[in-house]
Formats: sequence, C-alpha cells, structure tokens
Amino acid sequence: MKIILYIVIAAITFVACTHNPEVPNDYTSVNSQPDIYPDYKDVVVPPNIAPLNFGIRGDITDCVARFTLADNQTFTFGNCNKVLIDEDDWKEMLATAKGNSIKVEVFTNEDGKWNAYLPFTIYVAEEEIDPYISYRLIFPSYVAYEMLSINQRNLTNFDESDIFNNMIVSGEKDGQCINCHSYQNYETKNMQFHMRQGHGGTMLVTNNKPQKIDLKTDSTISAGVYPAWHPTLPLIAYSTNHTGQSFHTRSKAKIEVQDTESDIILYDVEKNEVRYVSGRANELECFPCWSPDGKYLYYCSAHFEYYNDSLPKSGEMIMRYEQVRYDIYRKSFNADKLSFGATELVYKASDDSLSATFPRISPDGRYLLTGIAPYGCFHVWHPTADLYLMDLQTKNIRKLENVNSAYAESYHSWSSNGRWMVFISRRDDNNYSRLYFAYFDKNGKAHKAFELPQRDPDFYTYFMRSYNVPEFMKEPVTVTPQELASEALKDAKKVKFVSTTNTDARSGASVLATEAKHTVN
Amino acid sequence: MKKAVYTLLFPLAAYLLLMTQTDYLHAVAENDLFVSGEAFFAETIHSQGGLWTWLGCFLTQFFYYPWLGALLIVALWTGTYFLLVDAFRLKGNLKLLAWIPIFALLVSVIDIGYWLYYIKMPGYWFSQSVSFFSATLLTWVITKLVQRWWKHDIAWIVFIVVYFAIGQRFPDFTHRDYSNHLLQLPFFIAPISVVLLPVWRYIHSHIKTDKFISTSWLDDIVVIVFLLLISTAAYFCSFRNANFQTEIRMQAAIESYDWNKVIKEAQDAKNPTNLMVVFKNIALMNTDRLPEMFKTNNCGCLPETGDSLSVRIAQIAGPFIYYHFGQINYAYRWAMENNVQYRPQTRNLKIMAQCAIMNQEFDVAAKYLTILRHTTFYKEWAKHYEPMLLRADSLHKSEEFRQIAPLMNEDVNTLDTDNSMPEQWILCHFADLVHPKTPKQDHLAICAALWLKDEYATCYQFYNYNKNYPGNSVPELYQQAAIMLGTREDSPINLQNFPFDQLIVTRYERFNSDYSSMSNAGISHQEIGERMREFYGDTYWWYYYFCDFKAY
Repeated sequence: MKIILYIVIAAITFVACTHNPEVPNDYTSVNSQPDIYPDYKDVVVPPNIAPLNFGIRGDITDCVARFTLADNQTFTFGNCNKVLIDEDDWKEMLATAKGNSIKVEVFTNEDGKWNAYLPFTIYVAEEEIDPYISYRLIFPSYVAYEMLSINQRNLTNFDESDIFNNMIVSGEKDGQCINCHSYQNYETKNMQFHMRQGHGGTMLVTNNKPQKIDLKTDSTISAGVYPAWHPTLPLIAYSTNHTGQSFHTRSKAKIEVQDTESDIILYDVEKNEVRYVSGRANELECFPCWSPDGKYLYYCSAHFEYYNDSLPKSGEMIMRYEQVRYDIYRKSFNADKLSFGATELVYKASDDSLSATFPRISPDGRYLLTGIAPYGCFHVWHPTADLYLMDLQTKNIRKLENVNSAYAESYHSWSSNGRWMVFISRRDDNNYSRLYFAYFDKNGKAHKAFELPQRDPDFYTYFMRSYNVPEFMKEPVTVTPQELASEALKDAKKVKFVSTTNTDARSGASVLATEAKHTVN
Repeated sequence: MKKAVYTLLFPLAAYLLLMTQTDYLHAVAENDLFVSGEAFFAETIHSQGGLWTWLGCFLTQFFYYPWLGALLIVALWTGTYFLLVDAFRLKGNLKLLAWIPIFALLVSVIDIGYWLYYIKMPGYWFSQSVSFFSATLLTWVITKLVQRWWKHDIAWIVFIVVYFAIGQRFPDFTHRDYSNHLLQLPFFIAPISVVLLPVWRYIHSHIKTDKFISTSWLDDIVVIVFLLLISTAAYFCSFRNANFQTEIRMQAAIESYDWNKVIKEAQDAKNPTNLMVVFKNIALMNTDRLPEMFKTNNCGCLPETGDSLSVRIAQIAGPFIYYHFGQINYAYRWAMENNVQYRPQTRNLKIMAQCAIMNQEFDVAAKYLTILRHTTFYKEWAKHYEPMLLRADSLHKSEEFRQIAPLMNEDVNTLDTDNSMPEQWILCHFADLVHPKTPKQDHLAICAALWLKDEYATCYQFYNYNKNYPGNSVPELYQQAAIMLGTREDSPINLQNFPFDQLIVTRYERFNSDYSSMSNAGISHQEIGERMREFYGDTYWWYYYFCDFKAY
C-alpha cells in the first residue's frame, strides 16, 4: 500500500514539476544572485551526489534554471517556484563537469514579467563522497522521545530507509531511546548502537550478526555511551557518563546537557570484557576517537572539582555549568598488550576559555576536526559552537572558514577519503539540526558547505525532526530492522569487567593485568 | 416517509449529542493537525495505518467548526449504515442492528474526556470511522460483485477479511502505567456487531416464522425504543464533566484576550480545577486586578477524569500557561514535548510560533507560520503573525507583546527544571524573584507567594512592594497577608508599626475570634471553613486556612 502511495506521490511530483522549460527571450536583468533554498550557490559538490533540487523565494509564479557545462551543453529545469532536476540529466551533468563547474542561471516570472539573476556556479570535485550516510532523526525535544529512528541515506539519490526505529519494540510503558550508532572503519558489517530504558542494551553487530550486550558493570559508572571502534581490531572505546539535563529560563540555548561524571573504557568485542582506559578523579573524560592507524586514542577531558558538599553533583554542575571546559588529549595504544601510554595534551582549549568536543582525525592522520564552544560538552545546543581544525603537524588550530555559521555547528565526521566532511548545523533556524557537507581540498582548505539534497526543496520547512550523529558508510547496513528488533527483545549479554594494574595516576598510563592478542579483522 | 424519519432519527440524535459538546469538538481540532501537501502526507503514512491517520487528520480539522465536523462524521456514519444494510441484506427492524456499530463509533468520539490530551493517535476522531466506512464500502462492493454468480451470504467473511486487511491501527489508551481498556470497547463492539448481523438475521427469520412480531405498531415501538435506548446510552457514555468543558472555554477566551469571559467562567464554576484558577488569575493579572485573586474562588481541585488517568497541567495546558506567564523557553519546551510525546497538535504549533516570535527567533517562527499557512483553518492566524517577523513595531504593538513582555525577565537566566509541574514552577519562579522589574512582576511576585502560602516569600515581596511603591496605597489583599504573617515572631520583617487599614485589622481579629469560638465549640476544621466561607471567603485568611494548594 505504502509503496503504491509513494509511487503516486513521485509520479505527481515528476509530472508537476520536472520538465524542461524554455528560457524566456524577454527578461530584465537583476544585479544579484537569486535567493534560493537550500543555498547551493557557489558550492563544491562530489561527482556522485544526488540532484541539488532547489526552490526560489519570493512571489514568483514560474521559474527556469539553465545549467551550462564547460562544453556549452545546457539543461533547463523549473516549474512554479522549484527547480527539480531530472536524476539522469544530473548524473550526466556531473559526469561531464567532474573536476570542473556548472554555471546556473535562474529566470523567474513575477507578475508576468521575467527577471534574470546573476548566475552562480556549482563546482564538481574530482573526488567522490562515500555513497551512504546514516543519521538519527529526532524531534528537537527535551526529555520526550517518540518516533526516533536511525536511518541510512543513499547520497547518490534520494533513497532513505530505517536501520532501526524505537517504535518497533517499545511503547508507552517501555519507551526506548536509541542513539550513538557507529561503524568500524566505514564498513557496516561491524556496527553498534545503544538502546536505553525499555529493552535497553547495546546492539552490537559483528559480521552482520546482531547481539544485545549490557555494558554496565559494577565497576563502571554507566554502560557505554559515546563509542569509537578501533579501525582494525575488535575493540570499541566508550565513554561512560552520568548525564543530566536542565533548561535555561531565558537563554536561546534552551537546554544544557551536562555530565556529572565520566570516564573512558575499552570493550573487547571477542572476549566480551571491559576495562578502564581513563578514570581519573576530578576529570570528566569523554568523546573517544581512534587515530586512523589505531595507534592513538584521542579523547576530551574537563578538569572539574566539586566544592560544595551540601549539593548533589548535578546541583553544583547546574550552578557552575559555564566553568566546564573540555581539552583534547590522547594516549598511545599498544595493540599487543592492550595497554595505553601516558596522557598527552593535544589542545588545551580551556586556556582559550573554550571547550573542545568530538575530536575526529582525518583519514590521512594530518588533521583534527573538533567542535568548540565557550563551555560544556553538548554543543548542538550552544548557538556559538563552531568547527575548528587543528593541523597535527604544526599544532596550529583555526576556526574553519567557509563552514561555520552564526548558529551551532556540531557533530562532524570525515569521509573515508578525507575529502569531505559532514556536520550538523542549525544555521537554517537555530532549532532544527540539518546535515551539511563541505569539500576539504588537498591544501587543507574547506569550501562552502551545502545541505543534504532532498527531492522536494520544501522538505526542510515541513520536516519537524533534527538530524544528528551523521556517519559516512561505504555500504548500506544490511541487517534488517526486524532482525535487530528480534534481538532487542532478548535479554542483554552481560560484559565482564577486567581490572587494570599499574595505573599511573599522574600520567594515566596503564598496563593490563591480562594480556591478550587480537586478530586483525 | 415514516421509514425515512426512522432512518434519520439516530443520525439526528447523534448530531444533537455532538452539538452539546461544541467546545470539546473545537478543542479536538485544536489538538490535532492537518497540513496540506506531500510532506505531511509522506510523514503521516510512514507509520502503521498511515493512510487512515492521514484521512482522519484531514477530516478531524473540520471540527474547527463543530457543526461542520459533526455533520461530516454523522454523514459518514449514515453512509456506513446504508452500506451495511445493503451488503448484509437487512430488512425490516433488523436494519436497526446496523446502528450498533455506529453507536459504538459515536461513543468512541465523545467518551474520551481528558484523553483528548493524551491519545497518541493523530486524527483519532475520524480515522476509526473512516477506516470502518472503507471496510464496509469494500465489503459492499465485493459482495455485490461476488453475488452476481454466487448467491451465498458472504458479506460477513468479506468484512472480516477487509477489516483486518486495510491495516488500521487500534487506539491505545495508555498513559504511563495506566491503561483504560474500557475506552477500547467501542472498537471491538463495532466490528463484532457487524459480524453478528447474519446471526441476528437467522434468528429473526425464525422468529418471523412464528409470527412473533407481526403488527406495524409493534414494529414502530421497537424502532423507537431501540433508537431511544442507544441514543440515551450514547449520552450516558459521553464524558460530561463541566470543568473539562469550562477549561476548554477559558483557554479559548484567553486566546482571544477576552479576559471578562475568562473571569465570568471562573465565577460560574462551583468547584474549579487548579487549571481554571490559573486561567482566572491570568485574566485578573492582565486586567490589573491580580490583588482580587482571592475574592474569586482560588481553591483549585484535581480534575475528575472518570477513570484513573493521571492528568497533569503540563500536558493539558503547560505551554499555554507558561506562555501567558512570560516563560517563553518553558512554553516552547512543553509544546515541543507534548507534540513529540503524544501527537502533533495545532495548538502546540501555534504556541511554538508565538514563542519563537517573542524570543525573536524569526527563522524558526517563519517555519511554523509556513506550516500553519498550509492548514485549512489557521491561515489567517498565521497571516496575523507574519508581519511581526519583518517589522519590530508590528510585534511591539501587538496585544501579546503588551501582555507578555512585562513578565519576561530578560536579565535573569537560570538553569532549572520544572519536574513536570508548570503551575508550581511558575509560582515559585515569581515568588522567588529577587528583583522584579515591572509593576506586573511586582504584583505577580507577591501574589505567587500568597498563592503558594510561602510565608517568607510573602513577607519579602511585601517589603519589596512597599519599597518600590512608597506612598502608594497597599492593596487590601497584601495588607490581609501582612497582618497575618508579617506580625508573627518568625517573620523576616517587622511590621509592628506598619500603617495597616484599621478596618482590615478589625476584620482579621473578628476572623480569629470567630474561628476560635467555633473551634472551642468542637466544630471540625472543615465545617468551620464552610461556615466562614460566606463571611470570609473573599479573604486571604480563608484561603490560607481552608484551601490546600496541590499542584498537579
């Protein structure tokens, strides 16, 4: 039934809006570029991206967009106030313009008169983007969660499907939050995500086989939270967090999400064991991330000492929320001994009165991308949050020009070839997070970001959910939602805690009591 | 002619019954959402039974005009009746039985009361009727086609198959740990009564053989008694709580800034709910009469839901009252939470748009107004607000800015949480204000402290008030509170020499002596309260001693 309806909608849309109109002969030139949404003016796009359909703002009755390639081949699209590009034509255009550009001229009909705007350019990069991306769709709500889903989208077209959604196994009494999906090295045969509350546990998929595990032990402060798969070994570093949230009475930031405690642990997938990586007193360690060669574990940590014994930690955290600032550290990793070296400071953001989160290392190991705001750990709710880039060779860090906006930029990932980055941004309206992609060239320069294309340009106006945790994938997830649901209903397999010895409280270096060899995947 | 009259009797009764609940029906439209366009369609049909949900939402919006929505749903039911009669080949009085599923559907619309705010199925009010009609229509079509070459009675089999095949979703009346299965009963009665139609026909044919019912006057009586019976049953199954209806009316009156109507509704209510008290005080506050809050009944009670549903103001009107007390962030929060937790609702979208405008977040306000412009009945509402996105003067001249901006304390931002108790939070927030910034805040701060019976805050705010308005006459209410609390030993301020109005002092002394004499006579505290209400019911003292403030 649903498929038929979708076909009908697609057919109506196609018939109504996709055609090749004539460019008007008589028009008035306007000395500005058209006001289009999403803003695809002068962006760099991958040669395998879905059509950049766009709408035009203003009281217009009709429009024509002429796409001209370097060889002067032209394509025209447009109807009403939308430019919906035929997928085959678009592929042809991208193939021809690869490494070059497409000139776009927009003509609009207002009150029966045609206007011609200054053209804009769409640059087509040589390098492709990973064909799939996954993200969580969530209403930008505060405490309530219904209709959460982790979805995957084919970036080369508009196909989207559920990887899992929380309504499959949960209801009113046992509502379920799902979060933190993550893959090993862009491949989906090994992946994980968490389910909280109803049927809670971590859904671990190894070699496409799902199983539910319980990462909480008596020795750790929580189950695993922010995950980081080792790029080659069957290991996942997690933060463990006691997280709370409270609400601003006046600030437009609206929500503050805070950890009152957090540590980093390592989960051995094959042995089903967890052990501490870092759990120092007065340190809030979080956001683990492996270097692409797997030799270092990067993470963030905020030094925070509780002073007030009369208040619960959460109460004091609420009072002093602006004092929490995360710095970036790393530890070397010995894969043979599963041991970590001393803590090395990478970037002391707190010295600049800033707080750095989500370190992400480029696939070539050269750059570190991080989200930075004046304080705190949950920057999606901090309107001033921006993406910063550190050159790990020179240790210089800079705000990413062309990429940031007046509103929050947050969770970010590198494509597997390191030429594209995806991040969430609230630039559209400061409330709903959308996915933006930016080209990152060989000279370390990021280019103007573009929004995830949709079949209907009005999509984002009517869509009431936010995108978060975008992760690139080389292939789609093949485990079905039903298979995951079937596993979700089972009891979770408990993990075993393994204590570490010889922890140097100052450096944080640790050597495992039990040494184990791991096979490389 | 007689047949036609008999056929229209129940639809007429159903329509009249619906029209006795016009406030509720309008609230139904406000508490649901339909947006034209493919985005809403695609989002809606994504879930199980999505097509019925979409159709349900489409038709539910017509309750914006209760007469129109009622007309549509009754027409749908009447159509269903005719299809059932024909598909099941019902003759004579047996046709009456085809009204049973309609009766069940009618009850399902009018029996839910406060579940209006908690039901998670968008378009609930029409979706079940539409899917039932569709199942009946399909049954009728298939039966007609099949019976061209096969004369056996297969309608009931077809109905069962179609009913389950069309993939409708059954409503779930569950909120937290409580489920009301009784409210699901109509959705079992409706299909079962259809499936049983051939059984009744079989029994009836045998009774007919025995000439049990043979005279036309007896037939008439059966018809009339049956229709009277199901109409009366529907009436008694409906949710008929006066406070529920009044809350809806008061909310609508506040939306249109008709403060006098709000106050009038409160005065007419015998035993108001907390929410009605809050609404009344919003009206008093916006007419500069907040110090009169105890002259009208300020004792709120819990709403009577008719079952064990645990009702919270957060869900019934949390966003609305936060907004009218100038707590924009929290209003936005609860509008969003309720939209997510229960179902998308127009009223929440409206509040979110209003909050975004008041917060000067014009981009997201434009998003909500665009969506509202694509509804059938809220286009004008959206158009009214659109100029505020573009011109500051349009916003500043608006009624809401005039009413709400003085309550927004721009300098004070704190991190907090309300534990899902908006009323309690609002009162504590204002009672604890260290530096009220506007006259409206001054009054609200002291009145919130009184409302909460927070003695320390009352004294503090009384001190603040007198400091801020030296030489002004102090409202009688504040004097009443200060006479009682400010002269106590544990009072943080000393009011021994405060120039209280002597009449108020004397009245308080009489209040005390009346209480003492009745108490000494062995009269219970509650009974004393009832006896003193006539003379002191308009005083803070009476509220303080005889009213329990319990937020929910």
